[in-house]
Amino acid sequence: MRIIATYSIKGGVGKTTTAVNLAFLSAAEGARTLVWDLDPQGAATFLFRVKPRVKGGGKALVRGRSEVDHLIKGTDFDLLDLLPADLSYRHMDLDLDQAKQSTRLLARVLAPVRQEYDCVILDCPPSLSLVSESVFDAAELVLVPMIPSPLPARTLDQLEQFLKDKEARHPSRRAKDPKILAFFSMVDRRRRLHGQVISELLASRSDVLKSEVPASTVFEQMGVRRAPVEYYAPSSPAALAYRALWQEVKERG
Amino acid sequence: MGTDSQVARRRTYLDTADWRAFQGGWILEVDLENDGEVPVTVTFRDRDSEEVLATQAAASAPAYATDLPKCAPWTDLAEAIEGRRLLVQADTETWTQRMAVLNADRKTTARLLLERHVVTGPHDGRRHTLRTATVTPIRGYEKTAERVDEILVEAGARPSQEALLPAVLKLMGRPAPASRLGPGVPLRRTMTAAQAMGAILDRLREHVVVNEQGVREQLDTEFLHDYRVAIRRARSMVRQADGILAPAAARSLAAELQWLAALTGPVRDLDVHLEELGPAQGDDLDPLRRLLEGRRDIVHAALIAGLDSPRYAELLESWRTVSSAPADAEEAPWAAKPAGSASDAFIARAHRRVIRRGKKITDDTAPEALHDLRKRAKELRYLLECFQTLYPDADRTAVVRELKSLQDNLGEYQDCQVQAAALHTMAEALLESRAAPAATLMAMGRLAEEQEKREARARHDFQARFARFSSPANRDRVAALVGDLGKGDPG
Repeated sequence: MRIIATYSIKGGVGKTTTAVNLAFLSAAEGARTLVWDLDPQGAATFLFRVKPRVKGGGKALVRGRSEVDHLIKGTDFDLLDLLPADLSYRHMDLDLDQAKQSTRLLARVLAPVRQEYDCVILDCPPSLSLVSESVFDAAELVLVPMIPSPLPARTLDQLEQFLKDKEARHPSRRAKDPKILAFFSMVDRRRRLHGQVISELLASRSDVLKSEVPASTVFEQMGVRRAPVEYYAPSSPAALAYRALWQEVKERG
Repeated sequence: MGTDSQVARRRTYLDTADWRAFQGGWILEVDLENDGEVPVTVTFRDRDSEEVLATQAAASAPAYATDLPKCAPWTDLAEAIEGRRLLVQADTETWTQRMAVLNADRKTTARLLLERHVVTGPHDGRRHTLRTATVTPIRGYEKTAERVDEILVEAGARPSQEALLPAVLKLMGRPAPASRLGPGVPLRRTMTAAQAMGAILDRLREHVVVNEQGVREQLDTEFLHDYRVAIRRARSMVRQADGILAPAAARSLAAELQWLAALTGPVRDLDVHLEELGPAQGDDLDPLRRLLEGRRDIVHAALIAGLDSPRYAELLESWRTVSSAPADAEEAPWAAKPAGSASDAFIARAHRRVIRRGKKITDDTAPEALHDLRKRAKELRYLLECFQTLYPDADRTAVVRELKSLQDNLGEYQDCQVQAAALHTMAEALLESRAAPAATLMAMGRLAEEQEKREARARHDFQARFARFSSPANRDRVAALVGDLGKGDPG
């Protein structure tokens, strides 16, 4: 079972859009795929038309009192399941903080379904917190969407610093850090600044993927259609962009 | 409820004429593309669970076991089929409609597969329609699927777990394959002997009709074999059942059946010779194989001409009506009597005949007496088979076991004699036409010698086999089956 997280310190950069579309592509290739919507806002859950409710809430889940197996919902798409969001996830930091070995808990929650899925995609809330730390512990690969603004490199640096600090905070634990790969999202090539930022970062950093996801009204329709773009607009540039990104993730991740 | 697609799939079910795959617990399907173009997908399933055991893409549907993949588990199927031709037993065109059960958020909470199968029977070409529904639960919404399943069952839809082929066969008005084999028709001891004989003759006639196409098209040699077995059984029944059928009608049918047996005999003899030789392998016997194949083509053409003749059509018609031909009580004293006592009497009489004639045979008796005994033993066997449903299985099989042992011995003796004689005749023909080198003639000589040795061995074993058949213990078995042998003798 491979665990991939879509993560960003900032909100509104296309995390959920990426999680949902890549999960759909993974399942379409025949891999049994699970999306875990960790964001209490429940955007991925909404897109899959599932009620944002987890029996017992986030606390029971991370404490191992709820069986994850019974909380998973099938989506409308073959081989693609969802562990829905719940409003109580907003207290997940607190729930984790009160537990022992808190950063390992998310991985532990997924352990019972390890054999059932080939790929798990974690859609994370925007923050740097105990939840993020736990996500980094569980995931092998963290995908970071970035809008090509002047400061994206800083976000990546912040993330790397956070991982280093994590080691310092838990010196006894030798958990392997996940691989971090960033990519550009909501790209508007008509804007010179976007092109400039992209070229500079691609030239200076090796952890940025070449595939970019354009800003497109097709993505705006996701909220209305409540389905991945590949499903309702498979020949759109938006869908092609996610296919290319998924290919690159598989090659480099 | 949302609908998203409707697709057509064409599937044929293949099996041998005697349902060897089905009997072995398997189903062989061939899926054709929508336009019927190659390639096709061949699927091999477990008959009861419908589990797919293997699947294979192929350029065309397999016709013989040799067309199947040469690996497990296909080899199990190939072994069961042997040399028999795979035939289309049912042809289905399936229209599939996938539907989704949606909740208030238009989320799919269960999937529903509705299938309409249009089934065409291979013999009558009639089309039938069968509808099936399969519900697939969605994780986390299992209750919806349960509810939909309940609704479907209440509405009388076919449960999705049931294997499709038996439902297809039932729909086509064909009995389940398992009941199609053998001459045993359901009989009751209390029905009249005329009714029982009518049912037996109808079944045998059906065997002839079912195998006719395979005989004409030479699909495999078993069609002709089965065809001839049905003729012999019918002829034997008509001749032995005197007192049940109207004598004139029975005599006329027996004569026509004899004609049909004679018409088919030469092809069968050559099939047997060719089977004995085995497939062509570039050896000394190839000229002999070519000679036999040439002869076979000629006699097969004569057979086809016979099957196309009005005489054959009339024979089938008189076969259909013979049991209902009017006969008065004097002509047919057994007709209105219970089938059970008639059958007991006929079997007892046939058994006595075998014993009587067998006892007269010594080491010095001419071969013809053994050939005659073989015929009498066959008559007894046919009676035991055709009336089998009147007797408890265990009692009947005990009698058949000893009889079969005697028949095997007599069969081996006669077959070896016929084969050796035929080899001598053919060697002369080859020599005369100068169509074969000396090596071929020598190889044939060795074959003939082998046949003569087997013949001598069979003759040597005869006395011991017959002694067992005529032993008091075995006579008791026959008595247990048909009661007091002295009673009810019709002739």
